[in-house]
Parts: sequence; C-alpha cells; structure tokens
Amino acid sequence: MNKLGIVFRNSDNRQWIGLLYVSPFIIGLLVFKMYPFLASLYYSFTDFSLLKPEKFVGLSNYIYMFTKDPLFFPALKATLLYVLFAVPGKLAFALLIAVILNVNMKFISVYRTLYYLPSILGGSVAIAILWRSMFTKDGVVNQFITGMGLPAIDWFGIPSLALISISLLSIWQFGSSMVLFLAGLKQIPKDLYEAGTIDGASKLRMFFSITFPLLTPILFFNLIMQTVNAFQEFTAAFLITNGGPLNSTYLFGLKLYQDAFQFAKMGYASALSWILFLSIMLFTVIAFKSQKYWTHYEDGGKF
Amino acid sequence: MLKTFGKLSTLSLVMLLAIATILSACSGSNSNAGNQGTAVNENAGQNKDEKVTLRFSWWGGESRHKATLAAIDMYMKQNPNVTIEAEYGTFDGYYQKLQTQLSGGTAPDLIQLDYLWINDLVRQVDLFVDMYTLKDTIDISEFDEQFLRDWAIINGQLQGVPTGMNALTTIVNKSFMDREDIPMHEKWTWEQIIAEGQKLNQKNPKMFLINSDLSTLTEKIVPSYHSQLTGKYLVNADNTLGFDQQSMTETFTFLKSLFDTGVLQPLGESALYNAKTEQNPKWINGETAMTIANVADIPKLRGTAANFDITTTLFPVKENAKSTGINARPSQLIGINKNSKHIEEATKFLNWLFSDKEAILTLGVERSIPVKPSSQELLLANDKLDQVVATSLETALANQAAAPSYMNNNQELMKISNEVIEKVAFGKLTPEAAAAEMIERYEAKLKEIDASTK
Repeated sequence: MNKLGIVFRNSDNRQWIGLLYVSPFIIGLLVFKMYPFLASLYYSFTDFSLLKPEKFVGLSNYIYMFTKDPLFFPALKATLLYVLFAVPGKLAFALLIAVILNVNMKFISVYRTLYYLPSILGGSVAIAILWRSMFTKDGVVNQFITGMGLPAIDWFGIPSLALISISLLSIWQFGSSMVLFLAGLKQIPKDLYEAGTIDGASKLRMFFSITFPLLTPILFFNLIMQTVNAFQEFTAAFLITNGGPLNSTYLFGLKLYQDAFQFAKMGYASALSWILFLSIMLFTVIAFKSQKYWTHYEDGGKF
Repeated sequence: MLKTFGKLSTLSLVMLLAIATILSACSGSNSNAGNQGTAVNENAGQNKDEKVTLRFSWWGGESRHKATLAAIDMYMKQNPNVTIEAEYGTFDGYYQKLQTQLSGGTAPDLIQLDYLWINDLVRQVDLFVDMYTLKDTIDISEFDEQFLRDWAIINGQLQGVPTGMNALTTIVNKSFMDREDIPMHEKWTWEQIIAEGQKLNQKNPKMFLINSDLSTLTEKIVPSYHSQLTGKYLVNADNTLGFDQQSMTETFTFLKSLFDTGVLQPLGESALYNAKTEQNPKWINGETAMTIANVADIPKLRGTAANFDITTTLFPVKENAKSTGINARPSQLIGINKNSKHIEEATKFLNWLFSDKEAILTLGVERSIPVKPSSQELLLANDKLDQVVATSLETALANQAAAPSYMNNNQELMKISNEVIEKVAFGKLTPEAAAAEMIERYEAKLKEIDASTK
C-alpha cells in the first residue's frame, strides 16, 4: 500500500481518474475478498459456530489443531501428497500435449478445443460421478486392464491408490496450463530452431536446449497457479471418496468443509484455513525465491 | 524497483485470489437473536385477507417433490391469501445450506429437518418454535408422547412435528434366496447370518449375503449390535460412555468376523457406494441377498432391483440378546423457524398438512408411514399403504427397544466411529486396539462437547 502511495504522489493528478475506472474491481476486492479474509482471521481466534454468537478464545483453536486434533496432520499429509502427484503430473501432461498440438495442420484449432474440454467440464459434479463409475471394480478402466490379462484393481478402495486416482482427475484437466504453454511455444523465435537445424541438433536436443529454457517463465506461472489450486482441491475428494478409505484422501479442503458445515465449528475452520493459507504462502515464497536458479527470461527478468 | 514491485503485486494478487476462494465461504452474521416476540405481535394484529408468503424447504426424491407440490397447490387454492414458495432438492448439501441460512437469517418459515441434526443445532441456540405453544392451531394430541420425547423434544421444547415413522429393517431379495436355496427366516440371528453368509461366499466368492457400506456399519450395525450385546447404546443419557473395553472388543470381533467369513463385501469395494447402497451393482444385479436399511429406504432399494422379488424381514438380532437394538424413529421432522414473520400462518398450513384428508392422501407414504394412527387408517382404507413397507414397520415396532440418547447422533462422534470401524474393516487395527482407540477418542470428544455447551 505504501508503494502505491508513492506512485500516486509522484504522478500527475489526472491519473486519479484511473482509480475510478478500476473502482468496480477495487470495491469487489474489498467486499468479496478483503472482508472475508479479515473476518476469517478474526473468527480464527473465536469459538464461532454458525449459529451461536462468537466468543474470543485466543490461540486455543491453533493449539487444539497442533496438539489434539487427530485429523490435522493426516489431512495435511494427504494434501501435500496430492499436490506432489497432481501438479507435476498435470504440468508434464499439459506440456506434452502442447508440444504435440504446436504444429501446422488442418483442423488444429478443433483439436486444441477438444483437448481443452476436460478443463471446462472437469470441476463439475457430473464428471466426478462419471469418474467414479469409470473406476469401479467392473468399470471401463478395469475392463481395459482385465482385457490385457491383468487383475482388476479397486482404484478408490486401496488407501494408497485412492489419492493417485483422484490426482488423475485433476491431471486430466490440463487444459488451461496447456493453452498457456501453447502461447509460450508460439512466442519462441523460429530462427533459433533454424540455427539448431543447421548445427545438426536433434529434435530432442532442440527441445531441451531451446524450447524448455524459453518456456520456463510460463512453467513457473503454471506451477504457482496449479499448486495454489491443488492445495485447495475439494470437489473430487468430497464427491468421489469423501475422504476415505482410511482418510487417505481426506484433503485439507474437505476437512475445512466438514469442520465448518458439518460440525458447526466455523472458528476452528477459519483457523485451519489460515494454516492452509500460510502453507500456500510459504510454498509460493520458496518458488519465487528459487526462480532465479531455473527460469530464463529473455530480457533478464526486467520489465 | 519496478521489477520487485511487479513481482510483489503478482505475488500478493495470486495469494489474495487463493485465500479469498478458501475463505469466502467462511463468513456469516449472527442475526438470529430472537425477535420472535415482535413477530408474534405482528401476527396477532394480522388481517385475515392479508397476503402472506411462506417458504417451505425439504429434501427428497422426485415423487416426494411431486406429491408435496400438489398438496401445496391444493392449500393455496383453498387459501387464496397464502402463497407458499417451495424450496426443494436432494439430501446432499441440504444441511450445510440450512445452517448457512439459519446463520444469515434467511432460513425458510417451514423447514424439514433430520432428527440426527436437531440436537447439534438447538444445543447452540434456540431455532424453532416450540410446537406445544402452538397447540391451539396445530393438533398434536395424536402423536405418541414417548415418541416425541425420544426424538423431537429438546430443552423441553417440541422442535418439530414428525412426518413419518422409520425403523431399522432388512430388505431381502427373495428371488436371490430362492435361487441360492437359502431359507427365509422370520427372524434372523447374527449367528445364522454368519453361517449362511459363509456358505454362500465359499460357494461363490463374488456373492455376499449382506449388501453394506461404511455408513450402514457406523449408524446401524455397530450401535445396534452393541445394544443387543449389553443393552446399552454407545453414549448414555448422561453423556457417559455406554461401552467399555470388553464390550467394544466383542463388538469389533463380531464386525471383523462379518468380513472374514465373507458375509460383507470388503469395504474397499463398497467404498464407492457409501451411503448409496441401492447403487451397488451387487444389489442391482442380484449378487447379494440383503440390505440393512431403514423402512423409508424400501422404495429406493426396490427401485434399483426392479427385476427381483423384494420383501423385508426383521433386523438381525444376536442370540441371547439383552435388547433388540431396534427402535422407531421419525423419518423427518418439520419445524417452524423462530424468526418467521408468519408463524401463525405457517402453523395453520402445517396443521392442514397433517390433518386434512386430501393432504394426507396426496402425500401418501412419501415421508414414510404417517405417525398419527388416524392417518394410517385413512391410507389403509384408501389402499394407499404399501404392504411391504407397512409390514416391515409393523415387525420392527413389535420388537422395538428403548431409543438411544440424542448425543448418539452427534456428527463428530459418528466421524470417530467411522474411522475406527474402517480401521477394523481394513485390518489395520485388532479389535482390542480399536476398542481402546474408540474409548480414548469418544471420551476426549465428549469432554470437548461438554465444555463447549457450558
């Protein structure tokens, strides 16, 4: 905010009109984002249930979380594992498809649209239910597996496998990352590849020496966005497995929801959401710090 | 400088976006503090022809929606000054939505409630009008007093009117039993179930005698078996533990034997149909003989096994049982919102719903069999009483035991049972260790609940 103040004081008065133009966004931000944000911080120090007026209880929600709640650490662990599966999987898959679709051929935009479809549908209830029936003991996936002579698998029934099955649903929704990768691929100057071809570099070599380094800024952006989303995953765990079996898919988002709306512990849920926020924040800061070691900006990162 | 500023603002924007989505659900206001007094006064001075709009919310399936909407239309024709807005949907998310509405002061006037939640709700704050104070407008004389005390009276107030009777039952696929040559007993004991189930599963490992899931175990089989074993439910009326190391170990040993002998489908396979046993392909395709369910679930389970002859039998009771562990319970309650502006009109409508001939016939058994004997007779006389459902309820009522205390339905305690039972079913804990964990966690949670209500 301080920096913003300096920008304004040093600027011509006419620039204030800009604020008017962005005011719908600012008001929206204040009302729908800032207010709940601060309110939840306040509630996290109270014993607010949805119905009872709240009472200030200091840090006891946080203390309870770390010392007594038997589900806090399992939920955190499940969420971290989920992020570790889902995010790299999704990014790798998105990049692969983007590279494949980055060619000039007939109907290419039709293909791109088709591959984007899962992202539009993916978050919906219907898809989660479809996913469930695809992965049942006698579902399509198992029929395929048994067709190859392998035994059928309980995708959502084996604790260690259930989390991976749920991650697959998220990996399948690779569309938005793919579109960004595609845009990034289009930005890479053709002459670099021409130079590479003249030097006799193989396709693979060119991918790792030209394409990948020039894509790292996009990769970085995708990484941050997808990780933030993955930490908050809820739909799949809620609709498909409801946290089971043996709490292996009891993601943090689901725990939050149950504590808030099923057990009527809104204050405690607010405290949990702050821990989730801090975890995401911590991850993002680390990612930003690490950026200079592995991302490559054409302009050296200055803009 | 600009670069850092740019990065900082990106960072903060991303963060804001992230948290806002997490937290946007977490705000609410407390406008519930009773302004009932003024509402009632307003009502008293109300003109007869004044236009009144009531909101009525319920959950259910297609047929229940149709019947209820038809009844509402009928009422609005007879009372042109009253408009009733129906808010209906499925059970999923209903409770969460209701809590948010109650918290924000936007809850409907008439609310269908599950008896499972009612204690958790009114333990926090007064939410519903005490039906006893409305005696002049609504006739509750025909409702059995003990039944109301067991399920609907909390803090000395009648929180809602029960819509129907419900009880534990066993829904049997008779075609399956004939085909597999399994005897049809009037009353099954758990010992017989295990013997027949083991035989069946050994003959054909794809078949299981009982179609079950985790929630059936948690809500029905485990507490009822414990009650049959000791005469006590899991939580006593004074909120102390109804079980000890020995009784719980025995219950879990029994539970484990159900899985070991192949009576129940492994939990990993049925996990996807948790709380939707009617969707389990084993039931649909006739590869399982029985489903433990409530009487009100009969239409649903019959619906997905349409090719088979479906009947019912009494919920299994162990040999030398101290109690049956079966009791009649309301299928739902309908309560009147304490903050409603039209309590008087809402009560009139509710009374009509439960006493008008046409209304009773229109609603039929959509909310299970009505509690009032006169309504039951009316349905019987008009051939609207489903024979399978009626017999099933009758058998259960003839064998019923005392009701569990309200605390048994606490959602957090249920979650603990769920987890421990799952660990036994997956073989992660021995019955002894599971019983110890159950005792430790139940005690801790009960203490916590006790502290929060003080």
